[in-house]
Amino acid sequence: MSEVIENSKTYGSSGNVPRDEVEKAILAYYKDMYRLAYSYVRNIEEAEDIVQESVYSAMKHADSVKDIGKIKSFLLSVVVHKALDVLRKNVKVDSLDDNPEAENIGISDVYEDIDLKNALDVLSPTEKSVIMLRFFEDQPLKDIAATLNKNENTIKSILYRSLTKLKKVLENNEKEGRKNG
Amino acid sequence: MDENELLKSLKNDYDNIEIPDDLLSKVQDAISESKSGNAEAIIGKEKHDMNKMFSNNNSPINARKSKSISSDNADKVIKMKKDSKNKNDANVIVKDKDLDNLVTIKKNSGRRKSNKRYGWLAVAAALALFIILPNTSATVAHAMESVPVLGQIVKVITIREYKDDNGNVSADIKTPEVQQDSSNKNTNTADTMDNSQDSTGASSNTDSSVSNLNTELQKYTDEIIAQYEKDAKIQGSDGHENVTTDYTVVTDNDKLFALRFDTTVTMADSGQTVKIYDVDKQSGKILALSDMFQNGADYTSVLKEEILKQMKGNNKKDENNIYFATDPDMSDEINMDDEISKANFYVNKDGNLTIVFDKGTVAPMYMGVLEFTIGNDAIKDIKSTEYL
Repeated sequence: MSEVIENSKTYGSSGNVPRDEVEKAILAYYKDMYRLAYSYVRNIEEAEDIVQESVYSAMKHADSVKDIGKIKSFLLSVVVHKALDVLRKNVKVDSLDDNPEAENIGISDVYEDIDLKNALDVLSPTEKSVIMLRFFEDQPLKDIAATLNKNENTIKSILYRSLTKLKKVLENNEKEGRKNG
Repeated sequence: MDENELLKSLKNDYDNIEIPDDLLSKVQDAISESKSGNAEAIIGKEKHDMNKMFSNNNSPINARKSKSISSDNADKVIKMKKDSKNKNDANVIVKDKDLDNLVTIKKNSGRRKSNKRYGWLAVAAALALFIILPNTSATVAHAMESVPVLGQIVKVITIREYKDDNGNVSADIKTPEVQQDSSNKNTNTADTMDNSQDSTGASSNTDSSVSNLNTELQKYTDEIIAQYEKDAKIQGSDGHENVTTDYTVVTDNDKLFALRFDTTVTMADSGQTVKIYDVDKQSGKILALSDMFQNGADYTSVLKEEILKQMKGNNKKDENNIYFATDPDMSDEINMDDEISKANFYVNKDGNLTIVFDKGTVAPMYMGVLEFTIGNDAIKDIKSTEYL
């Protein structure tokens, strides 16, 4: 099944260059958009909804893309926003999660027998976003900052503390492993 | 396993997330819908969301809660309440009328001792130099005539204080102005002194260096004010933001003058921004880090090495001292060459170059604004003899 439809419009013919590029990019990256959305909500229908809304939104706001090289990052950021919105509606998110100074919150809450497959669940939605964008979608810190509408230094802090939390998960996991023989 | 392996395995799971068969057609539907331009309701909401998403938060303002800085040498301030329908307008405080006092705003931290006395001493020495040299050599006298000096005595006053207070959204941003003291016009060496009436060329050069500097200072605080007003508008009544900008003179010797701004922003995403203007008193030129070194020297590598050395030393002293460059997880994420090129600097009272990094740039936020003083020995081969 052909999954990518080539956009054969040339520049200038529709008078709407960014939109054509955005459409092309959507067809190239919709799977990444889906995977990212799914990672937040773990539900197929919800993830599809997020992708649909993101696609609609991205097309409508195509003119906010300043740099053709940043289109993928733009699409991912729309997804991140939609996904975080959905999560916020489902569960009241404590604004402390977004506080870069809350470095030590949560480490003592890291459960001993967490399934490593769900390791990212120890992170706040924002922290998870940073980890996923950085390690799953290879986004540079600068782009992640733009996506999350934060300063790059905040992203550094968030990344640092997220990795610290994950290290803790592993430590605890190993301890459990030794305990159980 | 270590966290890198964990992340690799999680990425693998991510890449293997199954794509539903109907996803593509749903995507195409959404694309078509966006082109047909219906559903006004969605668009309205979209605009609001998008505004929030794309408001520019990547400003120089990046901060933490500050200590409020009180000016002891009280500027006489005149509060002028602007006549306005918009309750959000600032109460603009204008003009220091008391121009006879040398005003240097001191930070409460007490880290920096007052430059007032030191400045006067250095200036007196410089003056002595000016008085002696012109008479000893005609060439020197001529050279002095054409070299503008950024005022023997530099005064810094607050020319504008932008204050806004809407409860949770507020600002206090001070704009300094550098002034030369013109009271030395009538010395014996009047004909060769730069601010005499005779050497009009030189005096206007000095004036233009100073006014150029002042324009820069004003532009800088204008940007901060503009960003604050933009943020305040977007946040509206749910907002929570405080912006405070204040300044200190951090270098004031015979060669150099440096004015440091500290901007602190408290909101959901906070930080603290430092901006230092380093000025050559002779030329009035605003200096870059490269000016502290000889032409063509690879100062970045040398500085990086020295800073990393100090970081490692600090790590040993206290394990709570964390720096990204010396942390195994973060060292790949950070580009020290880049950070050094973006850093601020000044020459401290001992005559040593000090590099200043904004909060969160080279270490986690809790480490605060970081300063590294570079001993002149470490850079003896490449430093400029002009300033260091």
